[in-house]
Amino acid sequence: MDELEVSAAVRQYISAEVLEGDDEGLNGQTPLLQWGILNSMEMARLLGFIDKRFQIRIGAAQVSPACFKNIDAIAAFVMSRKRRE
Amino acid sequence: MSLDRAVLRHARERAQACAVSDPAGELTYGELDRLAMGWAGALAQRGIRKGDRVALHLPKSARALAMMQAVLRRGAVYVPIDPLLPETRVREIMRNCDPSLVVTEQVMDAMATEERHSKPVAILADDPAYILYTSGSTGTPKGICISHGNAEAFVRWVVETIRPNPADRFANHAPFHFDLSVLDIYVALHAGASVRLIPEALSYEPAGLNRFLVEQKITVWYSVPSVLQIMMADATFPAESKLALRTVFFAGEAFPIRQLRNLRERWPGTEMWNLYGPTETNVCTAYKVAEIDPGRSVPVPIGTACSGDRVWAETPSGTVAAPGEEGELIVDGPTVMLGYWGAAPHRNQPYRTGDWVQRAENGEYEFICRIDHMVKIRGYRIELGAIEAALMHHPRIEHAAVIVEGEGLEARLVAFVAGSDCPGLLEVKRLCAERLPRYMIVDRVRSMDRLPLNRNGKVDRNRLAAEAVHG
Repeated sequence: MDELEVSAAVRQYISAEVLEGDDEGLNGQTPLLQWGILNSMEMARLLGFIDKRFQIRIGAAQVSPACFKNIDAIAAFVMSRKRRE
Repeated sequence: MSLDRAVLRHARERAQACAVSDPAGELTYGELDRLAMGWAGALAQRGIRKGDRVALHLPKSARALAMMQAVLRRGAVYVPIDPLLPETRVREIMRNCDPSLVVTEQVMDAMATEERHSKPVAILADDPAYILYTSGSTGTPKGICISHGNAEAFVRWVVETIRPNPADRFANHAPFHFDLSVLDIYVALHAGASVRLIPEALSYEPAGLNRFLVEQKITVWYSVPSVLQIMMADATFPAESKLALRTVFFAGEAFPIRQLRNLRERWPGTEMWNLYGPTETNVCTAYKVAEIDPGRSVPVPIGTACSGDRVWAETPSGTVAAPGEEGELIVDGPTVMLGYWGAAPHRNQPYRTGDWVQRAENGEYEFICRIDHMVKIRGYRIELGAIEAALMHHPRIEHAAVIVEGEGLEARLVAFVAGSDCPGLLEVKRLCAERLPRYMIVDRVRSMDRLPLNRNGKVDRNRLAAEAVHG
């Protein structure tokens, strides 16, 4: 699994589960927090998805906004955690 | 002065002048007076006395207006009923106002053959003149009872403000059961001018409305902003040079600032007024639209008190709002209704509008939102109107309405947008994020060709709510 695959999976999740398919213009740099795509509730659901899909357990306390500001940042964060494990 | 006096006066002074027209023809002041007199006689024959309610279950027409005059001449109270209301709703209204007579087209036709003169009835300012039923979304309809004095206070203010004359032609867009029609009908009749009834079938047909404005040489227009917006968006929207128009009034909802600016640019020589007031108070504040500050991003103010009323804003702690403070707008004065029919009289009590306003430094009031449109989502207080105003900044969004779908943790802000090639969800989120706190960013966007309007021309939020669930 590389960063591109993680990025594609996260993008697909956000598109289907958060935006319900209305994802025109969604890319790796779309500001997820700033545009209210990920609010606290969606963030909790996304962490659940990451846990299940990539077997990485992330506690809410470990989540820094910078790591979730966009899809590219999330993919990099997941990969760095994966490498550490 | 009672609402039936003007026709009597003008029938003597300008009997041949047109008083009211509809697609079937027109009635001069002389004809209107004779018809009203004949029907008042027929009503007397049927035992209608002062204070009785007469339900008018009629489509809008010049003859229906004559029947309203006939009822008033008997000192009775007319109750205009939307002919398109479902039967159950009509029955609820009838149960509430208990009319002595229900006038339908058939009844009216039969009455024309019973013409008899009746003695004039003395009418006082505090006598009820008409009852308008609100189309509230929940519960039973409420009958707002308006006296001759209530309506006259508003009519007098309009007369003093725009100085109408017999050459004026007032367009009547609103149905008779909607209080916007009070200005068109009674200011026109007061001035000896004519009121041109827009047929209901044309109400939301922009090309037809634009043609009506030109062909009927309308000088005074009054409608909800939505109607002016659909007219403006149509290719047939006329240049000011093609019009006899001098004054435009709008009321009933906020006019999105970009569209109002556009209207001002296209009709720069036309005087424009934003009127405000729930049906319970008729029009209690007014704002003359002057130059609009280019930096202004919210609708124009609702202005200052008019019609002899006094208005103030009450803060949540119960004090009168100082400049800069917000509160609920409260109205006291001659336009405040007698009360809801069948409930305790309201007379001499200030009326709480349920509208949240801000008092500006210059004493004008700015409308913020309906108190019941202030929703809470996950603990945050959200003003739906503020989100709608933000959406209207998008160049391709012509009209926007936001509703809440779901409850509790599942509550979502759903924006309905209309316009040409409306933006998708992400672009709308970006737009919101530029102007609003994060908890006010919309969750869903639905594009429509045109937002559904209710019979009063306002956005039909009930239909949008159904659309959000099932659409």
